[in-house]
Amino acid sequence: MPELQVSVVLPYYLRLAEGDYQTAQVGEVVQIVSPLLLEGTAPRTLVRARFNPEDSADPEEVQRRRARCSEQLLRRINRLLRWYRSVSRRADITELTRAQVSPFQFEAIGAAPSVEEWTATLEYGAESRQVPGDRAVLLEHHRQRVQPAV
Amino acid sequence: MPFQRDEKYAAEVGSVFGEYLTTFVSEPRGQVRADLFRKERRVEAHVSFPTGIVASGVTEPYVRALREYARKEGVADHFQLIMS
Repeated sequence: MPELQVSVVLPYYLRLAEGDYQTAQVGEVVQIVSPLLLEGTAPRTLVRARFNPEDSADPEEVQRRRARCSEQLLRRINRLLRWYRSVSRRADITELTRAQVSPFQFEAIGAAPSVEEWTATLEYGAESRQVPGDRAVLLEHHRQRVQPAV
Repeated sequence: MPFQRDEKYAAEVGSVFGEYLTTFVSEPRGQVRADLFRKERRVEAHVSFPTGIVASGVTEPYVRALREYARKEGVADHFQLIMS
């Protein structure tokens, strides 16, 4: 699989220069992209990162690997936000959930045999949108169905 | 039967997310539940996992089955997975 670039738009505007920011050990970076300035719309920061997942022809495996990329990007973003909150002293900047930064846009850098499989938008819904009503009861019902096999 | 209408859920959810169609539960252990809704031409599968399981760790197949359902229903071009 060639490189996969995953992008999200934050619900914040971070006053950071465009470029790469290292969020942990070497190689773990996120790239801040200058926001689009649209009249009447508050600017929001676009963040992206590149990943090198192994290619697969199995759509189940592709979905798992795309989900893993989105989790890794979110982890990096939240590290960046913790740092930004501290240095900027902006208490309103808090860590984000997958649903808050959704959708995740995927772009393949270079040709790939199964590119469409990899580049579909990955969308996460807010928890409250998934199961209305007595979610706890429903989840417990679901959980009981998923007891590990003995 | 991985696809089955959950009438109790249907009564509870009403038309909050659109017209409820059916529910998919993965086999054999039900790691994945997907509730399917039609919103005009679009069909959305709201995919959820039990506590402790995330989309990157699921071992039971569900993507192919949901896409096949969309294909059979003629909505493959208007079908979307929404993960939780």
